[in-house]
Amino acid sequence: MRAAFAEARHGLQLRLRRTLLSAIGIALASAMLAAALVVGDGLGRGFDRAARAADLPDVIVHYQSQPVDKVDARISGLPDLAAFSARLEVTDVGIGSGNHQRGDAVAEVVPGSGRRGYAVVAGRDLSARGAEVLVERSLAQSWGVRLGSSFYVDGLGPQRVVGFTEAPDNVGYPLAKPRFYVSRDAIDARFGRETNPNTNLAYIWLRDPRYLNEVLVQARASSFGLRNIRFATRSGVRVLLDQAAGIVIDLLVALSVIALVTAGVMLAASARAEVQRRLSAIGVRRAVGASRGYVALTQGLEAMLVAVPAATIGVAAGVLATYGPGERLLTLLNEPGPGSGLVLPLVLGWLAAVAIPVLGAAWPAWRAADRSPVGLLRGGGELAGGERGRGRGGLGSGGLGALGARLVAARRTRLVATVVTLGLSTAFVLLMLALASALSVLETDPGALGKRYTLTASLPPAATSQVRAITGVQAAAPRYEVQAADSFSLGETIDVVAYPGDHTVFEAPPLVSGHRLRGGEAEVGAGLASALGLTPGSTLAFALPSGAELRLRVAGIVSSLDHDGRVAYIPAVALLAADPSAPSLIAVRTAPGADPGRVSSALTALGAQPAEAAGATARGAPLVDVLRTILRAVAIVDGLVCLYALIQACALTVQERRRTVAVLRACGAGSQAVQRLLLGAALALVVPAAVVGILLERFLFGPALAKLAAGYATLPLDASVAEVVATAVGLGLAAAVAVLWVARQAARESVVTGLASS
Amino acid sequence: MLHADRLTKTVGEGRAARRVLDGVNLAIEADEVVAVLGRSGSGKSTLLHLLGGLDTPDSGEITLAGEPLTGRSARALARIRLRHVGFVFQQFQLIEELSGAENVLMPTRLPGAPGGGARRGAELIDELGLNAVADHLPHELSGGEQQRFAFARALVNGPQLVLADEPTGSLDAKNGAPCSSCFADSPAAQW
Repeated sequence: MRAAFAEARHGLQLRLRRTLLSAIGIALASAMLAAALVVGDGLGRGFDRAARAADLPDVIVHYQSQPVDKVDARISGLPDLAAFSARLEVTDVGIGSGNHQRGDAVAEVVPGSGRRGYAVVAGRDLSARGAEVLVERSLAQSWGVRLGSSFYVDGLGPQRVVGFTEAPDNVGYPLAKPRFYVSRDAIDARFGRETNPNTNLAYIWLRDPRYLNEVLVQARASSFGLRNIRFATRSGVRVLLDQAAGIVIDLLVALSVIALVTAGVMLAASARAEVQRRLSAIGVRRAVGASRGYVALTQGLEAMLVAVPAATIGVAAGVLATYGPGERLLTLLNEPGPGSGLVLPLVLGWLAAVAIPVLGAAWPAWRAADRSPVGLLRGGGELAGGERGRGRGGLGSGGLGALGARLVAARRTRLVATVVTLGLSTAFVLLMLALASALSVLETDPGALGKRYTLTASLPPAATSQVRAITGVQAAAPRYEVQAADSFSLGETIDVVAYPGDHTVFEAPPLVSGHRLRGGEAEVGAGLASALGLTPGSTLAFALPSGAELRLRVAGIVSSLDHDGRVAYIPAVALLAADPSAPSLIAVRTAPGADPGRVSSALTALGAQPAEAAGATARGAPLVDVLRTILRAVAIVDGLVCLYALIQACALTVQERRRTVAVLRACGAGSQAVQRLLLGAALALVVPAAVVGILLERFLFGPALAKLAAGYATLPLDASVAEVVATAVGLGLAAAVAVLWVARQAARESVVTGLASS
Repeated sequence: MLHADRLTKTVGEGRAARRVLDGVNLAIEADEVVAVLGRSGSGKSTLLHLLGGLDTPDSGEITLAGEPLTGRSARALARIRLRHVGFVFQQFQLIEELSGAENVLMPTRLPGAPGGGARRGAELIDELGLNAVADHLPHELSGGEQQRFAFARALVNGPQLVLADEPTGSLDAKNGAPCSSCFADSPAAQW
């Protein structure tokens, strides 16, 4: 063992430059791996972690303000009840801290005792002493609120901040309105004790969440007399979360998986290439009597001596690059960072980053040591028997470039591994570019989701004709929207949208299957269809907030990102028959070329509050910014991986063909000729890699990611021509840098030394 | 045509340093064939490397066809090798991925090579009796065939100086003899 260790260390010292190159590769792959783990773990398990920490209830019920004893009596009668907490949620509260102030905050007045439904992540919980508030961590971070500082609340005056909270049933500020918590005791202390205070929000914890549906049925049955009742379940909260955070969470998780695959392929290819290059040295060891185990051990130890420090540096760099943006993202989602929970995945990732090159080096060495030492000594180091180039006409038809390509092609296994690595990285870069474009479009362009109306106006349906008369308005109609619950699975909420007449004038989400709705029919989003198993021809049954139930035949399935695709378009006549008081706005489609600003002014003159139709992630601009930061960090690492793979491939080619390069130089080839040779080698890798990358993105990653991210919607993730060209240019630049760098290194070696090499 | 004046060269470093050339003077005229003889390790190969511009002397001057070799840049030395020098190595050093003919033509494809190389290459292959194996890869050739291809490659750009470092050293007597004669009757004299 000691001898093997000493030999491994000596081998590294002899090949210092190449060792450094291998170390850089392992460090880059480890960085990628760590970045993927940080992003994947943070986002993939963030909700569950947050729900556990916050003791998130199984059911959250919103209702019109009611005295607490009336609500308590109803909830107490529910089956399988473990605990509940009725509280008051007050909206549009004025708050201020430091230089910041807002008039639309949400205050939650919580009882003095009982289960909370939020996690106190810093400081302590509210006490009975009064004049205290808990502030959401995202708000505290955004405004720079400190523990113990003063927090002004309209009507209550200055309050002391005693803690920061996280609760995943709402996304954080600024994605949502600022939220804080005050104690009922504090309110009572200031305004006098109310014997039966009003509440409008109840948290319900069940003993066994498997009975959720039965509890919901019972809850609906016992909610008679309560108005505007809305139920949200844990799965519903997930939906709400997705609604605010967008589909990008799933996208990032998918990107992390791709990064892991790329890193694995690169590490294994690198390690195998190293052993392949040293076959003749293995032959010498075997010839002097070294055992197979000793040969494999030496190779493995050598790889380990490089991999351990490189993987450590890489993992640390990957964590540093993504941990900060990841934390910011999770804070926005009201979810805790992974903290020490990330240590184990990172340690496992580090072990993988060490084990893959070690095993990748030891296993081929073990196999190679099984060959005859004579065979290894004869040609193993230069060319494996099955890999001798047989091509003809390379030099005649393409000069030195063709020779370079042929040198690379002689190592078929490495060629394939490098092309696969570069192809994956290229596809990854293309995917990120396409994703960035998709995000921008979704963020800013409502048309991307099939929304054709540009404005909504808060006016009664009777004002429709007045709106139509405004110059610049092409079409206007009442748009009814209510949140319903599926009749058979009450935890599934459905956004029901209705127009009188043809809804496609205002909203035309792409039809996936079936046909557009006719009287008495519905179009349902793919997300809803998937959740409820709906197909064209089946029946959609849902309960409206009024308690009425509607049953409609499903005409078609549509792609929609709204509410994760849990939407249903139905005729207004059907909705109004069941619920004449369904709330509505007027949807306004402006004429081509018309100025929406002028139309908006005219609507204001009619007494309306006009609002622009928003893209899917419009409210999540800060979130998108964070995501772009993460994507950029991953893209930079990915670009470095491409560059490394190219440099390594070129350097290994030159290293293995030192004599060939030396012969060329002896025959009069200058640095330009060596560059041409290497350019041919690099092009032999880059061109197929670009083709593989484009095909992978177009036919595999893009569709898979779109499906993974939004099974409920058709998300176009095909890279545009400009993106493909930009990526190809980037790959070409990486190839040029690799060629120049390696050619410079090659030119430094003495021709005589190169000729003498074996 | 080739003049070397007071050449010195030390190989190795530290304790292993050894002066293999110490004040070597040499003058070779055009069309002259010179054999350098000496014990193993006496510096024959080192001298050839210096004369061909593959290595640089510690001191002394070398002039080839009126052009000084000492103190020149790597690029200038490469150009001189391309136009004025042909090498035949002991192990022939044929490029394994190229056929025999491609190995011969390779120097004619390098940037800055003199014109007419392709024609000369074809003639050399023909004159050296290599047409039948011109498309064979080096490992498919006999030692004698490899040597003749190496010889053709050295001559293809019409060099004024051909340096052959033990060209028959790796061949048996049967294969080496014809090569020695072909070297003596080399077509280089025509160019």
